[in-house]
Formats: sequence, structure tokens, C-alpha cells
Amino acid sequence: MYLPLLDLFHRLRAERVSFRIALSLSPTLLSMLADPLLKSRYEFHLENLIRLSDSECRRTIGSPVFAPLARMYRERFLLCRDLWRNRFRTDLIGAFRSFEQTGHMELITTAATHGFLPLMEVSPEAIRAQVEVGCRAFEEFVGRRPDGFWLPECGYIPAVDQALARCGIRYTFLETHGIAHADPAPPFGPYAPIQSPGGVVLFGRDPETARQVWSGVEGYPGDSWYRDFYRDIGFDLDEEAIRPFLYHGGIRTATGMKYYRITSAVGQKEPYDPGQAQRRVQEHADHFAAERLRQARQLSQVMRQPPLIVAMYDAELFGHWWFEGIPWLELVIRDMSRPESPVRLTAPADILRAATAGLHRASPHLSTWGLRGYNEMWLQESNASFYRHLHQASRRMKEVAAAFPSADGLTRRLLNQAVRELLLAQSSDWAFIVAEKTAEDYARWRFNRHISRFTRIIECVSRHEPIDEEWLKQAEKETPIFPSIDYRIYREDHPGTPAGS
Amino acid sequence: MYCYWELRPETVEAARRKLGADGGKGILVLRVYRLTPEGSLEWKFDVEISGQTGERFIPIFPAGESWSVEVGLRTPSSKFIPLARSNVSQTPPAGPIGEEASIWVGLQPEHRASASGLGLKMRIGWREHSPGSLWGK
Repeated sequence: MYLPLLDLFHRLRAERVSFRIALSLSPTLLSMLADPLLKSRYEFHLENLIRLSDSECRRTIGSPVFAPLARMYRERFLLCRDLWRNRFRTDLIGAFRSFEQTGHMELITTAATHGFLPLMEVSPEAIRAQVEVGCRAFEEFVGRRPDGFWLPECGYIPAVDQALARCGIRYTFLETHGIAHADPAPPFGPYAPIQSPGGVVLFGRDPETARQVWSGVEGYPGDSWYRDFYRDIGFDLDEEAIRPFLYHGGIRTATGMKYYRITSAVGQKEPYDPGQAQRRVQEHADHFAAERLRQARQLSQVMRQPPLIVAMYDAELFGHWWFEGIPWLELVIRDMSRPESPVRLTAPADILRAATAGLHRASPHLSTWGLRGYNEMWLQESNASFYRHLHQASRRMKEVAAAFPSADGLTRRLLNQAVRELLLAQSSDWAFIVAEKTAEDYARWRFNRHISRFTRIIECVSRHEPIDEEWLKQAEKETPIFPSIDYRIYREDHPGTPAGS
Repeated sequence: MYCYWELRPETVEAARRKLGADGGKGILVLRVYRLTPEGSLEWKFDVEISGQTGERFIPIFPAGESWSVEVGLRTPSSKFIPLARSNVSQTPPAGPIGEEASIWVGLQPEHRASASGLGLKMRIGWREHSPGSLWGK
């Protein structure tokens, strides 16, 4: 998923297109990109996809509709292998860093395991641990403390502001109503950054750019000429044809080779036509650019400062969910990077440098993105039972960390593993997956596994009971994330590390 | 509003004893309070519950208010002994604070007329979920 995106940025830089974007690299993503096991699995996966596309080229030979599509995928997989092995030499973190070094990209990070911070309000130390462990992981991989912080699911409560400020974060992003409902009301809504009581600069999401891309009704990705995400040969092919390319004992799964376009919400899907899709990409890029110009002109008439339109998208949207998202992004970047373009791309650090007149100070309101904008996707009947366990675990971790000011040896390893398990249990993914009913059993299994291992460790340590070291080794091996974690992050006297220190 | 609770049996038994003869007939309730602007708790209603461990979604309430809940024992004669109290929870506001229900892009009063003419009035509200929406996140 990241290779086509990096390829785009690489080509733009080679052509001296002066673009600027901010990109969040989560600690979990950084850990996975650096993990030797996952790298070797990816090599295997790429080879498997190339073999699959070879097979498909043979199978579809003679079909004027499907043969060109099979060849298109084969070329893409070969390109990915070339990018992976030769251009980026399997070091995607290094590739992202290089774009920062050349001034095209501003890298930021997010909470340690993408924990949903608003529902940790009863445990401020849990919020602090998510923020600080995330910042430290970023520092270990990228080589510096982050200035910017992406709030998981855009979730904001006042306690988040304190944790960000304590960790030296300079800016973050809020959903539109978090800014619009701030007290006192910001004069320019989401179109100018504001400053929180803790001194963190807050950028508000522009609802128009969000709607144009994300809306299932009005959004570009839902266009009938675009490739359908769900029709995949992993499910469509005969058992015999697909079996040699499946993992995990032959369980059918998506392969990335998809031959149909969205067509319509109901009825038969029609074959994908890359030429028609590319025409729609151009139209959508032109529309997006024209809308930004209209928006900027209207805003400029009522604002005393250049309006800022904050467009925030998941990286996984481009190329994964929205197959044509990368060519669309390329056209938009090229258009807005023209020297004569009235609408320019910028990044938060540029805005902070230019904000000489001072920023409006206000207290933002609780806000999240997603269903109705106030926690609801992550707290509903289906997943609510998670929170009593998370709150209790945070309280127990705090108590045990207070009781062991400087544990060493096996006890230290146990307590570090307890924090690791707690952080993993806090991931917003589990509640989201359960709410969406996509891989509900897996999400519940993961949550229960982390909480039960956490509980076993805490019970043993608190009662000074022995624990099987082999069991601990296995738990550490299964969760290789945050190797340098320090359980004392849960101590009240633990200092946040300010940026630049 | 989502509530969960866990009470030790001995805590509930101690409360029953304290209530005297009526204690045995006491039932567990969630007592829901509104926080007044002065910061005191104003009792609004009770929700009967069963079980010393449980959870409940309570559908509330007017926008922009603060709420708190106690779990406790209530006797037929309406005596109430609180056993635990929640944190304070806020309901979302109906609109921007200190402004009308809509915000104006460029809120300076002298600009409002022109902004209106440009159609810049922007309603900030709760995004409704539609089945076809991609607002998964």
C-alpha cells in the first residue's frame, strides 16, 4: 500500500515538483515496517502475487476484456517488487525520512497503539502513556521527537491537551466541531488554527474536502467507473484455480486482483475499464481544484488572513480502498504545486512559522470523527464491555508502578510486558472491528488475550508469586513492539519528555 | 450515557444493615443527577438495576449539560444510600458556544452581511450516519 504512494512522491520530487504534505507514521506501522519477519513475509507475498498474476495472464489469454486487466496487475506487482528491492531497498521508513529531509514532507506520529483517548478520561496516566510511548517510538525510528501528533479517530478531550503539552507536542488536528464548538468560539471556524489552553496549536478539519472524498454518496471514490474494492479473484475464481495462491490452509481472501468496476449499488458488476476510470480521475481532480479555489476566494473575502483548508485522509484510502486515489492525488498535487496556483499546498510547520500575529486561544470541545461525532463508534452496545476492563487495568498498572519505583530483573521485564499488553488492549481497532462486525471474533480474542496476560502478570507481581519465565518469553516474542518500553511511564512522577530534549 | 458498576457483596450488605428494618427490601438503582451551573447535583430520576455487577446505556438528554450518576440502595420509603459515584459526563452542545446555531466563517460582525450574501453560513452539527456513507472512521 505504501509503495505506490512512495513511488508517487519519488517521481514528483525527481521532477522538482515543490509539494508539501504532512504524514502521520504510527508507532505500530513503524514497528511493522522495520520488523524482519514481516519484511520476509512481504517478499514471499510479492512473489506469490507475481505468480498469481502470471497464472491469470495465462488463464485470461484470448479475453479482450480480462487479459489487459491481468497484465495491468502483473505490471503493478513487478513494479512493487522493483520499488521494494531496488529503489527503497526494503527500508520504507528511510524513504519517508528522505522526503522530510528534502522538505517535501512533515512526519508526525500518533498514540502508541492508536488507543481511543477520550474514553481513557478516568485514567489520565493511560492517556499520557499512549502519547509518550508513541512519541518515543517515533523518536527511535525517525531520529527526532515529533512536533505534530495525530489524535486516534480525531478523539479530543481536555485531558488530551495536557498530555500533548507535557510531551512537547506543538500541534494536532481536530474534527470540525471540536473547533467550531470551542469556547470562546473561534472567529474563523476551522479555517484558521487556534491555540489550546495547554499551548498546543489545533488545526480543524475542513468539512468540504472531507465530504468530497469520504462520502459514499457524493464522494469521488464511489464513482461507478472506479474499480470495485470487494469483487476480488480471491473469492471469484474456482477453488482449483485460486488454491495454490492462498495462505493459511486455503482460506479464501482478497488478493488485490479485482476485475470489476463499481457500476451501481445493486445488480451485475461490469468489467473495469482503466481508460474510463482515468478520465474520471482527471475530472475529479479538476473538480477538487476548482472547489478549493472557490472556497478560498469566498473565505478570503471575509477573513483578514489567508484561509487554511485542512484536508485529512487515511493513507490507506489511496491505492487500497480507492484504487484510483493515487493518480487523483498526483493530479491534485501537480495542480496546486504550480507556481501560479492561487491555492498552495502547505504543512503545519509552515503555518506555525507564519502565525506571527498570534493565534486565537480557546478550549476545544470533546469531539471525534465517525458516527455522529461523539465517541459513538467506539462506545456502543456491542463493544462497551471493553471499557470496564481497560479502566480497571489502567488503575492496577498505576498502583503497581507506584509500588515498584525501580524494579529490576525479571520483575522489571514483567512490568514492562504488562504495560505492553495494556497498550495493545487499548487499541481502538478492537472496538471498531466489533462495532463493524468485520472480524469480530478475532478482535475479541485479541482483546481478551492482552487483558488476561496483563492480569496474570499483575496478580503475580503484586503477590510476589513466581511466574514461568518461558511463559514471559513467549509473550515477549509474540509482542515485539516497543522493545525499550519502561513501565514507570505509569508512575505519577514520570516526566514527559519535551521536544528537543 | 454509558454506565458500568461493580459492587462488593459486603458493601451492599453493610448498606442494608445501615438502613435498618427497611434495608432488606431495598433495591439497587442508578440515581441520575444533573450538575447545576452552580456546581451542585440536582436529582433527576432513578433507573432500577439488578445485579451487583452490570452496565446500562441511559438515553439522555438535553444538549450542553453535565451529568453524574450514583449507584446505591433505595428503600420502599425512598431512603437512599449511595455506594459509588461516577465521574461527571457532558452531553454535546447544540451549537457553537456563545453564538447562534450556525457559525459564520469570518465571524466579525461587519462581515456577516457579505458572508451571508456569499452563502458562507455553515451549519456545524452532528453528522448523521447514512448506511451508504464511507464515514467508517
